[in-house]
Amino acid sequence: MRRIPWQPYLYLSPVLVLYAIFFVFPFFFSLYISFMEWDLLLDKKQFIGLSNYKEVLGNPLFWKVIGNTIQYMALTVPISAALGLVYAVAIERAGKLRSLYRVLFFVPVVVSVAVAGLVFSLMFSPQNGVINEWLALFGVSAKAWLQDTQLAMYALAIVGVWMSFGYNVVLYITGLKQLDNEVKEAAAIDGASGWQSFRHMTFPMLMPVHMFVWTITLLHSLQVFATVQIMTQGGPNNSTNVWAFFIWQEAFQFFNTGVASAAATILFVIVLGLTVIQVRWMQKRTQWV
Amino acid sequence: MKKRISLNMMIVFTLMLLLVGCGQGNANSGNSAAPSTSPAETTEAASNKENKSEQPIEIKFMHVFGGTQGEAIQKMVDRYNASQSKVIVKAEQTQGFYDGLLEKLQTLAVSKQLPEVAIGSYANGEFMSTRMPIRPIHTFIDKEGYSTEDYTAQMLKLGQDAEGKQQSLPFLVSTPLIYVNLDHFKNAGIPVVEQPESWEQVRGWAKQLAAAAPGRGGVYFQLDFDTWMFQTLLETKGGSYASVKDKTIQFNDSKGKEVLRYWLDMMQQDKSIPSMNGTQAAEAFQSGNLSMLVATTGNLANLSKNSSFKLGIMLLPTWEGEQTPLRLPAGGAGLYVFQGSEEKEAAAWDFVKFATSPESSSQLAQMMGYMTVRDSARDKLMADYLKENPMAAATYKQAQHIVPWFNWPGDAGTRATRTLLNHIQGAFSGDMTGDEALDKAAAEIKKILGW
Amino acid sequence: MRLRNNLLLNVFLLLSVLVVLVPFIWMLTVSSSPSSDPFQRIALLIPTSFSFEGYLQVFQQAPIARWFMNSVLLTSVLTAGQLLLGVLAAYAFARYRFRGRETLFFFVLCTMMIPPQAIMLPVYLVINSFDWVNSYKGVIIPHIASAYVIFVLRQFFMAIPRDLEEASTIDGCHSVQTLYHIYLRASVPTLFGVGLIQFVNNWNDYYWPFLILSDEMKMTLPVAIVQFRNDSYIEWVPTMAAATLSVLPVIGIYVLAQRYFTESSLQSGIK
Repeated sequence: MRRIPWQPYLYLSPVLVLYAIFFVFPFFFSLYISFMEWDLLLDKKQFIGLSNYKEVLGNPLFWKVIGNTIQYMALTVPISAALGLVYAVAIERAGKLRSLYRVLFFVPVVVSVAVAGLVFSLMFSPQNGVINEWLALFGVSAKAWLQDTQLAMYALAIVGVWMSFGYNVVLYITGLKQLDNEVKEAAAIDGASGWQSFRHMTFPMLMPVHMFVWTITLLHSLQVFATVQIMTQGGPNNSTNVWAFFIWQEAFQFFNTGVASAAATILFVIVLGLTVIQVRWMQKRTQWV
Repeated sequence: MKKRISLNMMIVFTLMLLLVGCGQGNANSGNSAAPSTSPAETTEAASNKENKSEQPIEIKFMHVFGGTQGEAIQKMVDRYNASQSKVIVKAEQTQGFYDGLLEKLQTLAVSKQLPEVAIGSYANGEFMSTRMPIRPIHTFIDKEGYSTEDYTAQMLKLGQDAEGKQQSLPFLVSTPLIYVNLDHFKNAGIPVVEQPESWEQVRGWAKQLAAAAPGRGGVYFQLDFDTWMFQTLLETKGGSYASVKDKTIQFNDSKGKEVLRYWLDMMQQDKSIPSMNGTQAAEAFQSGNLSMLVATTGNLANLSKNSSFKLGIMLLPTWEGEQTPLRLPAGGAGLYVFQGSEEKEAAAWDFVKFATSPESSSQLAQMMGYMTVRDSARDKLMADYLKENPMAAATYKQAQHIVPWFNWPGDAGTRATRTLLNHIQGAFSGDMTGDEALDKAAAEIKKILGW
Repeated sequence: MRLRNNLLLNVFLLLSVLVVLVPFIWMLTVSSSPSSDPFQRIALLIPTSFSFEGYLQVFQQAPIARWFMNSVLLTSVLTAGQLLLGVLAAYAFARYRFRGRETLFFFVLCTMMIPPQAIMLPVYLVINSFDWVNSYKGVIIPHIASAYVIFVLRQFFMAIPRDLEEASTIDGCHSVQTLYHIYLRASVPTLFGVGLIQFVNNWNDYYWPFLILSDEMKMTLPVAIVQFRNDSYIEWVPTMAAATLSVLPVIGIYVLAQRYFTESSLQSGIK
């Protein structure tokens, strides 16, 4: 019989205790609240079964919010990942100024979302915003970016891409560096052109990096909250109301605790499912490559 | 208290479950569970136990004003703190204007950290008195025999519930005004009047002014964080918002639809209402890119500061062919006292009296642009000021038209207001027609209120 | 031909960098404009006249020094705690084989995947039941166990060769010594790098301090500068000045130690 060491459990205990209190317990607590009608102000609660779920699923706004979230992800993730790759490749070939570019592209990543939200809300302003002024140079008429239901989401996506793609640049550079020599040798043997070797060698060989970049960017854009809260408050007419904001609004603005918890639970399950699928898919793909 | 204990026990229970689930009932693991806490916290907790008799009582006052307006509030608070030694008031600004404050007060009520005094918009009076743990002002008035005679009668009513009991004292009152860029008017050859004949006339001007220069807006109605302006135009037209008594929503009747169509026509056909939010409109107005701004008198101080052009104001008109008189829902906010210990409540009441005294009220009115709530302040203390500042005086000319700001019943007021605003924004963006927007909003609000 | 390509590439990259940096230039421009006319400028970005009144206004109107100190204090404590707990947990994961190791590690990774907003309400209520709302405890403790730190340090610890431990037996009193003498000494640069990254991340945290800290005097800089704007009328000059001040420390750290931020081993260890 081997003795089970007790030390690892001791070392892990602070972390596990904290996760239990601030992660596991809240999950079950949220589940519990989602079956209640709980008036926090008067501290009255009552079991109401699935009513909150019915209310959430029957609320057209909930579905709009899901659609908005998907739209935001669809706008930011591919662009952010693609820009990351393009600039990584470009920077790697740029010669002397390479490290300078790398440093500067990363700057938006270290800036707080609060500052980004504030600065961009000024930049998108229809009257004094620099974006409209620049567009005017190309003959585009002034747009009320954040007040237009058709445009507000694009404006938020621009901010999202701006904040995230520098990180992807660095990730891709790391990946490229590791591949560099292998690819060059192989390309020399084949006599392939730059583009061909990129397409047939570099790009597929970067698969683990692609997966990582997409996963991280996807997660980040799924969690978008602060830019929405600072720049649009989910408006106009809920056109930028994404799920994190929706839950916050139900919970802390309308004080609809039961509905907020039901919505959180539904989305929790969806995200968990997606995570599992993604991990599975990743495992399969990496075996093939 | 009970709730907290049971919650704690549930946490401990989950904890144990998790540990047992790992196959390790190691008791040691609990010890390291309390990681470092910040030093600032511990000292704070220690200083919480205050000495009753000797030290001054500290109370917190929450408001929503920043910039020039916030400075005015701070000055008033400073004067109060200097005037006596028993109470220290700390003023704090919250974000998100009236609704932002209301949200914050709700959260603070849950965590039992409410301030002693806070302002509350006249649109939220119902919510404040039915859902928040306030100490109604009438209890202090009755106990002390405090005279409210000098408070302007219509304004005093803004702080009363349905039975006429004083829940709050009026603090700041505003009516909407039309701010105009007089240079634009002069260049366009439009005569400057005290009060336009009708909203239709305003529309004509707006179109003419907007067309006079590229990129210029004709008029903007400040309507992005509440429905104040909608109610103003609607009720002046003879329409009504809703009837709480009959549980019917009325803003989607023909009158309401006409009001929204008025705005939509200006926006879409005349191109005289620019699409932007209220803050941007104020900026645009200041930088001379907007000719007229319909907004609260409370903006007077901010707008007259830094304007590079000649600023003027006009009173609100009525509608062409309507017999109904002007009806102006009172904007602004009253002061509420929250339940607490006897000393704190007494301190809070003392501060409320000071803040609404003729002196404070007149100073705030002069520095912010809001109206004073005291007859004596208006007639005596501010008499010279009003003579010298016709713009500030103008707002008092329409004071007799003040009506209460509409209050949604129960706890869903924020949501109902937000719903209506959202739909109006949807119509502005061209996602739906104005009629659709109001009908949809009415249906949704009906559902929210359970009417 | 190659030279020209290279030149074109550099022009393209320089232009891109310029576009990426526009928000910063814009922020600086507005913050150093005169309050009376913040948007007066030539060449779209460069102001015609400079003024520091925005910065003066920030110091006069807002307790910005206090907010700054709050941020420093809160961020330092949180980062130190994350490193401490992270080292212990990573050591356990990297060095020991024990029942439930894979499951527990997977669980730690899960906490990184699940969006925090999914449980923000119940966590808030838990914090509230501890009476920690509006206190630094409420901001720090829920986030003091960082999956990212555990993950990166575990990767690093696993790369430390086992034979370094030599004779040290797997025995209670030596275990801590091994951690200290071998693992920690070997990983000082990594700890430093992770610490800096976490410092910046924690400094920038918005949504949780925003939810928990309601007292103006307790707020952190990023939360406070958003509060600094006034809704009916935003004073852009001081707002942008405050934003600039809040970004400076982070940019400073980044410029001085940028190699840690862009170093591969710290980027969640893709190998």
